[in-house]
Amino acid sequence: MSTTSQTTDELLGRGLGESDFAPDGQPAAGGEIRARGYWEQVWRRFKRDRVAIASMVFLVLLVIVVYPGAWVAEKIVGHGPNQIFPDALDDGFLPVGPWSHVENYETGKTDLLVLGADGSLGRDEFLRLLYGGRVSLQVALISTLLVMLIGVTMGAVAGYYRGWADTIVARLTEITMAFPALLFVIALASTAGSRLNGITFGGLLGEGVVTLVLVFTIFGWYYPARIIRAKVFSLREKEFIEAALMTGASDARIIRSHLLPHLVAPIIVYSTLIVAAYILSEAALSFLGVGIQLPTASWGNLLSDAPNFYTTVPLLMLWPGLAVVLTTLAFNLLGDGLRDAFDPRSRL
Amino acid sequence: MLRYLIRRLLWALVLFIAVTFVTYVIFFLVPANPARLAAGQSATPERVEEVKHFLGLDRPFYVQYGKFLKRLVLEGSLGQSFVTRRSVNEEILRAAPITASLVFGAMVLVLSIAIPLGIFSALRPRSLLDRAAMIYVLIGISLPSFWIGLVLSYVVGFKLGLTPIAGYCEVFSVPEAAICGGLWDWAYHMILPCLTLAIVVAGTYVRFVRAEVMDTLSMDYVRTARAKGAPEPTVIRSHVLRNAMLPVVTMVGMDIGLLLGGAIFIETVFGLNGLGGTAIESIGRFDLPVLQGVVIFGAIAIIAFSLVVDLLYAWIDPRIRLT
Repeated sequence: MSTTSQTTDELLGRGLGESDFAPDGQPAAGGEIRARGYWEQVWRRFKRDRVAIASMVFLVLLVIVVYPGAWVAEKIVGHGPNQIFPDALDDGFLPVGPWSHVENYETGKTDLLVLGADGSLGRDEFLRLLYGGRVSLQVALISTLLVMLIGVTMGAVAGYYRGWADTIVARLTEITMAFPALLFVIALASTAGSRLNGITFGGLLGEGVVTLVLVFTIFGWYYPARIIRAKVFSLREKEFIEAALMTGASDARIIRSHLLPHLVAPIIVYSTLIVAAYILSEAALSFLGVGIQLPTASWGNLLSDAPNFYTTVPLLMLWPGLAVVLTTLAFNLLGDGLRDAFDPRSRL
Repeated sequence: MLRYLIRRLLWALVLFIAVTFVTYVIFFLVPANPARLAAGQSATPERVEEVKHFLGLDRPFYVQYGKFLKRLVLEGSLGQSFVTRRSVNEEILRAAPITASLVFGAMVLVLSIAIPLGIFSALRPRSLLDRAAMIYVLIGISLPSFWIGLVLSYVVGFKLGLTPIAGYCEVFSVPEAAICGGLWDWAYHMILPCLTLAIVVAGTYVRFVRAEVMDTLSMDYVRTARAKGAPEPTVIRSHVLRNAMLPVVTMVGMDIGLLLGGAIFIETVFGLNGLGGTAIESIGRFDLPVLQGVVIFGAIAIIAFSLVVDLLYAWIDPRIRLT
C-alpha cells in the first residue's frame, strides 16, 4: 500500500512532501526546507482518517445541538422539558407517538411533540433527549477531567520518584480495585447522594451530576494512574532525563518540561476513550434509578422508563438508546483515530 | 513459594480490613439516622432511642466497627435485615447462585467466542476476519449492556418467543410454589441473560487476546523457534499461545470477582433476583445491613478470586514468585 512509505517517512520525522524533492539531490530551488513539527505531523495523519474526522464533526454538532440547540428548540415548541401534557396519552393511556400535536394547558396553544411523549406523564421526549444529553455529557466530561487530573498526577509521581511513593500508589490502587465498584457506587449514590444531589453550582450543572462525578472519580483514577506510571517509569531511564538532571534541573522542571510532553498523547487518547465509558456508566446507573433523579432528564433515566412500554411503544427504547450508542461510538472512534495519529506504529 | 504465599495472604487480609472498614463508615455514618430507618417511619422518638441502643448505635464508632468485624470473622455473620429481620447470610446464600449462574455461564461463552476470534485476528492482521472482529469490539464497548439486554429480550423473547423474557428457575431444592424447576428450565431461562452479558464482555476480551498474541509473536523466543526450524503450528501452539494466554487467566479471574457484584444491569433487565437485584431492592427500602452485606460479599469475592489467580499464576510462571 502506498501509505506504508508515507508512514515510514513520518515515523522518521523527515516530513518531506513530494514537492520538496529536487533533481540531483540539490535542495529545492523554490521555498526553504522546513521540518514539520510534531503537532503538524499528528494533524496530517489525523486529517487522513475519515472515520475519526466524521466522529469529531458528529461530537461538535452534538454539543451545538444540546447546548444552544436545546434552548432554541424549547423556544420554538413553546414548552420546557419537564412540562407535563395530560393530553399526550392516547386512549389506551400510552404515550403518543412522534410528530403529535397536543394542547398546552399553560398557554392554551397546540404544541408539537417532535418525538412524542416520554411516558405516562406525557413530557416532550425530544426536548428531554436534548436536555438529557447536556446532563450525560456533563457527567462524562467532568468525571474524565477529574479522573485524568488525579490519575496523571499519581501516576507521574509514582513513576518518577519510585520507592515509597510508588508503593503507596500501588497499594491505593489495589485497595480501590478490591471494592466491588459498581455495587459500591450504587450504595454510595443512594446513601450520600441525597446530600450531594442539590449541588449544581448555581444551575450550571444538572441536579445529581456532582454525586455521579464524585463516585466515578473515586473508582476511576487508578486506571490512568497505572498507564502513566508505566510510561514515566520507562521514560525516566532515557538519556534526556539524565542530561536534564546533570544540568541541575529541578524535579518539578523535569516533570513539567521533559516528561509531560511525552504524556500528552496517552492522556488525550485515554481521555477520549473514558468519556465513552462514563456516558455508558451514567446511562446504566440512571437506568437503575440511582443516577440522575427525575424530573431532571438524562439519557439513562429516559431509558429507565422505556421498559414499561417496551411491548407497546418500543420507540421509547430506541431514541435514548441511539443517542447513547452514537455518542459512545463517536468517542471510541475518535479515540482510536487519535491513537493512530499520535503513534502510527499502534495501527499494526 | 511459601514466602510469596504468606505475603499474598497477609495482603489479602489487609485488603479485607480496609474494604470492610470503608464500607462500614459509608453505611453507618453517612446516612442521616440508621436507627430511624430501622425503627420505621411512624416510630416515636423514645422508640427510635430504644432501637438505637438495641443496634448498638449509641456506642462509639470504633466499638461498633470492632463488634461488627468480630461477628463477621468469628461467626461469619453479616447481621440481620432491618426490614425482614432475616439473617443477611440467608439472603446472600439465596441470591449468590443466581448471579453465579449468570457470571459463569457468560464467562464460558465469552472465552469460547473471544479466544479463537482473538487468536485468528492476531495471526492474520488486517484480514477480513480481523476487521470484522475489530468492528465487533467497537460495538461491544460502545453499547450499554442493559440496552442490548432490553433489545434482545424484545426481539428474541417477545417477538420471536424463543426464550422467556425474564425470570429464574432453581436447579436444586425447587420450592413448592415454583412454576418451573430443574436443569432444563434453569438453562432455558439463563441462556438469554448469559448471552447478553457475554456479548458485552467478549468485546474487551477479543481485543485483549489479540493484543497479547500479537505482542508474543514479536518476541525474540518466537523468532528463535522459527529460526531453528520448528513448524509453524508448533510455534503458535507451544511458544505463542502458552505465553499469550497467561495474562488472559489473570483477567478472567479478576473479572469473575468483579462481575459477581457487577452484573446488576443484566439482572435487572431479566428480572433475576441475584446479588445486584437484592442490592437494588434493599436500597428501595433503606435496608442497610443487606446492602452492606452484598457489598462486603462482593469485595470478598474479588479479593478471593484475585488471590487465587495470583497463586495460580505464580505456580504456572516461576518468574513471579522468584522476584
